Amino acid sequence: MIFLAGVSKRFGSKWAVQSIDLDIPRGSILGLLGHNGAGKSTIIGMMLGHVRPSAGQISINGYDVRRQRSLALARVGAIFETPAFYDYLSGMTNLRIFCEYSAIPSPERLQAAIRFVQLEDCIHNPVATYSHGMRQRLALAQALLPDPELLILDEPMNGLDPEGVAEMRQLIGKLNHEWGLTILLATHGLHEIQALCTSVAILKQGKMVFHGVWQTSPEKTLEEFYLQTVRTNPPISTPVS
Amino acid sequence: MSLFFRQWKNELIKLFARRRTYLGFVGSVVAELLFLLLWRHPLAQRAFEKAIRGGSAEPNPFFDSYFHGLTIALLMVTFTFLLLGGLYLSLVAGDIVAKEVEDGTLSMILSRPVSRLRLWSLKWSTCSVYTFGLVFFIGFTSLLLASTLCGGLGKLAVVYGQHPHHLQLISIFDTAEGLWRYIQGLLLLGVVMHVVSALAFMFSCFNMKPATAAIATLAVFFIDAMLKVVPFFIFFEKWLISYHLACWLRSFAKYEPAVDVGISVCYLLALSGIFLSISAFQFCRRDFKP
Repeated sequence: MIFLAGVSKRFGSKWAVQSIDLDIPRGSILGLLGHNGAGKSTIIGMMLGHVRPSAGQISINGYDVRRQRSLALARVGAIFETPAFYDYLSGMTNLRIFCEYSAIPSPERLQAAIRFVQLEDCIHNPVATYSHGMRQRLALAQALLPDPELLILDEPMNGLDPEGVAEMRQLIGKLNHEWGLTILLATHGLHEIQALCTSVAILKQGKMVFHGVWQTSPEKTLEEFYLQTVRTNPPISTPVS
Repeated sequence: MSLFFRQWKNELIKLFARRRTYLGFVGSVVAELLFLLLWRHPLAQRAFEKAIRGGSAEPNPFFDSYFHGLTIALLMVTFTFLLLGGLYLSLVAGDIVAKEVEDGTLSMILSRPVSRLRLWSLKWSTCSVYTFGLVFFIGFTSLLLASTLCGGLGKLAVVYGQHPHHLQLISIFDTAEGLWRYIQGLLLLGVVMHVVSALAFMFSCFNMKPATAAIATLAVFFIDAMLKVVPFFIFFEKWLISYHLACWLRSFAKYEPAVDVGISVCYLLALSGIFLSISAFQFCRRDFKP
């Protein structure tokens, strides 16, 4: 579904991301882990065409993101850490505006997305009146409107209260299990990775130190596995199966 | 194509649903009222009459007949644009990309399969609508206020001079022709003011804060205006934007060769074209960090 080969990005003289190879199969949930500044958001930015890679190739659904951006992103939805909306407009107007950058949504599809995120009661209120959790749900609704096959989530649980985290976790699980969506989840939350992901990619200073299924046991939690991997492993440039 | 217009409509909704967009409209009405208030002072009217007499000591017998709505409205438009036009155009055009980058909404938009060139053209088209909108709003409200408070439309007397101390009467039109010329003048002003919007829009497409884009634009026009008043640089005058911007007033002159106005319009359109090309290139190739 997503394929990255030798992807690097340099800002000025600093390498933000170096030689990343990644292959995310259809229907899976990949967790992207790493400390602040490890390069998670840069990788996501390159996948979505916001950031131009300095080297390497990225394709989504077989289409090159740089050369065939419209085709590559046709069925991709994305949510960022702090979802940004036009606060002075209603949730419904925001959804229409964002969706109409690619296609005119049918009223049924709009309603279905709003129902899915349970915002029916306040969808006509200005977004300025929404709580952080409601904004995240609105962001999820706009990501679902293009009928995506791939969902890219950058820190979607940040700033949510425990109830909001549980709700978001449940929604993500449902989207993968019931709707069959492929999901890339960049997060700091090891609990989310453990609860949702089928595999994990760990980044350290812009380089990948692990990609595959993590091994845990009653004696070794995911947290211990992560810390050990980050502390001891040298960067790798090819996926570990 | 219908999708483009739908997207354009959405851009206009985004622009005109914000309160700050209306600052320009409110500010211009305040400036117009200020002008009318100052205009009531006999000294201001005497200075205007002197300009119309063109240095002659004899009082102009026709002064009262064109001292009405159309003439005063034209002066108000000139005054308001001199005072606020550049400022508000810079603020809005400087905001249009940079503010969305700052707020993070542009990242959300760019996650959609929309091409950057299309997005750029949507943004610029919106700037263009605002530019014409502000010009015609100021033109209309000036005419409304002036004709209501100064005894009807009257005749149109046009006073022009590149420097405040060298004003002279360049044309007099009767009401019907004056009104028609006034509308044409506004249209031309709308076209030439695009150079301000284009420059602010260009800065907005670079990696800078919205306020920085507006300040950078204003700085360019301030320097340009300052160069114009320095007498030693008079040879340089025809390269200055402010000289060419005044072509909308020169177009009222009955005997002004059209080619001179045409050269100014072409000069400003060429500059706008350069600014827009740079902005398109920058917008299409820059990185937008999520």
